[in-house]
Amino acid sequence: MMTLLSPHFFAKQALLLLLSYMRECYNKKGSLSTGKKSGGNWNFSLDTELVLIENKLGLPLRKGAFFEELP
Amino acid sequence: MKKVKYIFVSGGVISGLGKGITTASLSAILKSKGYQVTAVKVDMYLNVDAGTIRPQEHGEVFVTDDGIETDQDLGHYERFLDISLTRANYITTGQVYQEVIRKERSFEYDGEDVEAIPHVTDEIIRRIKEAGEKTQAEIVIVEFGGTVGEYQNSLFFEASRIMKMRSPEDVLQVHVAYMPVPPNLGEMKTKPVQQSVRMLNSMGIQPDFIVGRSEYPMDERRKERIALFCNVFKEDVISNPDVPSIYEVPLVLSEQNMGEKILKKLGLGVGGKDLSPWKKLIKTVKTSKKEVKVAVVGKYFATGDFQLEDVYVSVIEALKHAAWANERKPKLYWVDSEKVEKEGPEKLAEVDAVVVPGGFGSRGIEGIIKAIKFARESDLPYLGLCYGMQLATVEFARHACGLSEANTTEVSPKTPHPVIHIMPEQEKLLVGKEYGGTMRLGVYPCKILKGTVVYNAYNQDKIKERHRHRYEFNNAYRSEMEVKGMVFSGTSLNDRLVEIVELKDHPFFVGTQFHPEFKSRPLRPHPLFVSFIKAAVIRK
Repeated sequence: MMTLLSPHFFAKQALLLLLSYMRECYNKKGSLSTGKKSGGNWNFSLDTELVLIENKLGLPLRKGAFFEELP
Repeated sequence: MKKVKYIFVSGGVISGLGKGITTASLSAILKSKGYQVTAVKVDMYLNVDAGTIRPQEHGEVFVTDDGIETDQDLGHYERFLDISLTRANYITTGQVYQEVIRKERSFEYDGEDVEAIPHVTDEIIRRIKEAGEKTQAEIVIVEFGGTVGEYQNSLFFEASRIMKMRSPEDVLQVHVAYMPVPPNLGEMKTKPVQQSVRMLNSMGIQPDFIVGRSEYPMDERRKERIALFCNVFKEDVISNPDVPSIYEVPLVLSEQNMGEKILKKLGLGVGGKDLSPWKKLIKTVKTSKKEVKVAVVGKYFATGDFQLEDVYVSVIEALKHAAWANERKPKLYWVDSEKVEKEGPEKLAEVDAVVVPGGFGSRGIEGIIKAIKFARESDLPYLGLCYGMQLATVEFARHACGLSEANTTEVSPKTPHPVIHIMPEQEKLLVGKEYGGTMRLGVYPCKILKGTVVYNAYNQDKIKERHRHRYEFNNAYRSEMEVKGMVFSGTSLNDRLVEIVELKDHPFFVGTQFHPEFKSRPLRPHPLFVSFIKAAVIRK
């Protein structure tokens, strides 16, 4: 019970919720800001930044295709 | 003795706009005119070389024959010039400062007050000239990393200004700058280029040529504006638009007679040779319609300024060269090994071949091992490079030799079956924290067993390839794996180090401890990659 009420627990849950939301937005639109599908480096970077955080938390939420075409 | 000519290539507005490709293309054009050309990359960081920089930060670490770990642009220069460069072709701020401080400590400045100008600039000039001397070049093209206006590259610009001041007829300045086309305007803007040239002017540098990088070709009106505001002749404003293949850039610049214009300004004669091998290559690139699908399997990792493909640029280019040599259109896919770990490798049946490139660390390796197992068991052509070779032996030990806990000590230091382990001399270096430039680096000879897949590819029994590794195959497992069908088809001359492994009864399953991708050139594709793609085409 104490664990459930600890500030750390709430902070972590809030972070996970936010991260899941960001990932969902990214997976849907390819971008958080423009609504355009990726094509620019910025979006690619955002994706990889998310991957970095997800890796640190042990939460691979990235849903890229199995085959990602290289240019 | 002929006077050496120097061309400095600087960048403006943004980084990553293709200065390296422009420099490489210019080198190829001047080489095609019959001149001995070399290219030098100057990186502004304080690292002595690129070996200690994270790949996410830096992109690919390219290794030369003489074993320096450099920027990926040296790879472009080698591919376009079709020559092997040396450590003299790569200069960093770290190298320059290290040498200046060494000289100061050993009293080589005779008690002088050592200052940025002239001592640091003199060291920069000495190194640039040395690059020309060592390669016996008639023309040295020097690319400055970063963009004009950064504090850290000002001493290099100053060195180029001094060289021009001392010998104006032997030095040219080429400025490559970005010309944006804002989507809301739909019009190419020249103002960023103008601002960038003003910054150059403020350092006492007047560009002789301005190369406008943009999504689209530059029209006459834009050329006129740049000429007027940047104080250059209109014919010296060169358009360098996006093109489908980077190997088309020499043709784009050549169509605007950039080579002839440069040679004229340098007081050199215009040679009679042409770019016909490049034209032939581009024709193949454009006319090859049948596809060959290759999956590059590795762990997905976050990148900073660089894209994932930058980390494996030489592998990707080598695959393209080999596909074109087989008259195939390369379709290359990245496959995240963590996805293979979770979803299984079966989807790999959709491609014609699998590559596992060099890598590091433990994340995602079980997915790579699953992919290798799938390739081995389903006769899918496989090429493992460095880490890809090491993990191929781990996979074989686990699933073909029954050593289920086999691993590399890089991932599992206490594995009961260390199929891959650290080289004894490397272990000592790591204990002493001697990380910089201490891997087994550069070219080493390798003898090849006759009658093997790799012998058929190279058609030679002795080759030289470039290396970058600390771990090696553990010879204690050699005979056990040989019995089960692994062929150690390439070893060091003293037989101690396993350089190449392959499998009996598989159309193409090859792993190399070295990096053949570093020696593949568009006009001279690497034989191992050509054979690999050929196997993929046959399977198809």
